[in-house]
Amino acid sequence: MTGKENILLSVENLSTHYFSRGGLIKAVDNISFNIKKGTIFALVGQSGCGKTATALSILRLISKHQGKIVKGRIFLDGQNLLKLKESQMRKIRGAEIAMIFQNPVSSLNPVYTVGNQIAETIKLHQKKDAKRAYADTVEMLRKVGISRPEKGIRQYPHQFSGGMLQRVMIAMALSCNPKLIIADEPTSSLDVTAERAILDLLCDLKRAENISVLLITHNLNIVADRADEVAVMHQGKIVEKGDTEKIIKNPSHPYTQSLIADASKNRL
Amino acid sequence: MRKKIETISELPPRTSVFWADSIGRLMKRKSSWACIVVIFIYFFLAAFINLTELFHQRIGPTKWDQVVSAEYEPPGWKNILGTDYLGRSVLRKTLYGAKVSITVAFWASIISIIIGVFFGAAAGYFRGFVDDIVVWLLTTLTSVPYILLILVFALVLRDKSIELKWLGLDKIELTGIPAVCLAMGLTGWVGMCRLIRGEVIKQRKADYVLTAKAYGYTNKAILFGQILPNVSHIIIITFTLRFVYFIHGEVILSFLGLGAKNVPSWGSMIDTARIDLTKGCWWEMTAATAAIFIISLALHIFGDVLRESMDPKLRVA
Repeated sequence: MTGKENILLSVENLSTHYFSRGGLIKAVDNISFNIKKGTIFALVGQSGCGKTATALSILRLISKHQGKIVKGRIFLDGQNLLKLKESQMRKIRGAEIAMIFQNPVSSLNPVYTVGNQIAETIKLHQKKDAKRAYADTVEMLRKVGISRPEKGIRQYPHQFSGGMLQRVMIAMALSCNPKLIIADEPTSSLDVTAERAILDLLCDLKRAENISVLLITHNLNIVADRADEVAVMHQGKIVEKGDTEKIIKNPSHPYTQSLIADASKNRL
Repeated sequence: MRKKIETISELPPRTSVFWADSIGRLMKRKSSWACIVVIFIYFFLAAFINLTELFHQRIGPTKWDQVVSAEYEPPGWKNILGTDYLGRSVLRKTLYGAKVSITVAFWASIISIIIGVFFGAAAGYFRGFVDDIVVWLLTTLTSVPYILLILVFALVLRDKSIELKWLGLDKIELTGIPAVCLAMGLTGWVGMCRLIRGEVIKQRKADYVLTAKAYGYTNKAILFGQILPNVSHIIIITFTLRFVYFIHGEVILSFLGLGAKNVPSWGSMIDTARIDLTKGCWWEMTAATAAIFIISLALHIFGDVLRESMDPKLRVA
């Protein structure tokens, strides 16, 4: 599994800084990592360590009023995303890299039906007519395990539970056949049962569709038996990265050690 | 499985469930029905008079300038609301006043909503430089007392005319009603703009906006397709409440002699009736104020009921 052609996303020396009243915050500080095709790459760290900033940097969604990508290169299939024009970047978002957010309830527009939002995204990227887009939507919803998707597409976000909505978000992410899905704490607002179901779904989809997943989380427990590789982030830097098994067995950095100690305490 | 997908014969609604929900809730309330009836009567009257004038017909209220009996005749069987100092029917004048008020308020609302929503949405969404300019405009306009501002606009626009040759129309004389519409439309967008700006600032940080950005939507699509539908209920509610404000504005301008010329309006009726009051002639004043009171009350209650049935925070799933 080595070799350049196997690497989907390559982040090199990325630095993203936020400018606040208190001064400069190095949210992402010179990090590098590679995500291989068809694998789950986990980014683990406590809140505020720069995980989400990394994800937003990859999609170039850092608000220009708040911060800036100051340095680095991000390659998706050999294409440097930081060199693209905004209009070209819009074509990448959703179609090549899709993102799933922490809170599915607020991540969908409350005034539109679930089906409408997924179909709009399909129409935007694949130039399909409305009927075809809705047929695709139904297929996607069925794929992520929503029972009676024909009814589901007519429902509004508030008519779903959190776990079901996260499935809808995954369906939306899958709808344009992306190469990479960034899942930013996809389960931290869900209960334990829904959490396991969502993660299993992500794993299944990774296998079935050969999609890479960048799984961002603060919870090492959910990473342990699912991610192929893991990187531990602390204060904007990646302190340790490598195969999940190796790192969990032999953590070298003290921060990783403490994370693992805490995670094993939380395990029932 | 394929077969099932093909069976979707009709496309699901875009937003109609939201509106259907709101309208359903609205229709359940008796008060909203009463308000709708009152508002409909006023609007119908205004539309009817506008149409008859367009076709140069003189029916009912458009014959307001005819002398029907002796001056200062109190309300009775012949003249339900009595007559004024020239012996003209107060009822006809009051009905005609509805046309002036509703027409002016309608156009002023349309102008102010277009300007207010556009500036407010742009300022709230893009912030930065655009926001600075809009806020500067807002504060400048609000620092001048509103009545004085309208007076200035009405006076400046008074004897001007707009060439509309390029539209295939004659020029519009900016005297009377068009001037009042423009003056109030150009000054009245401030409140709407501030409201929309605030709401858009709140919404642009919402997660669904980030989702839309992460899925490649353009700024235009996000602002008009995602954010504005979420604030559209505010636009409608403000529209009904602003309407009252513009009706009152027209009354004040007419009262001060800057409003509609040579046609009766509630403001000019109050102005003349003020002097007549000393002679014990109370009916003209009463008719004009009652007309204003009823439409104001109906619009206010309707605005409140609208808010209750449309505001997502007040809705029950």
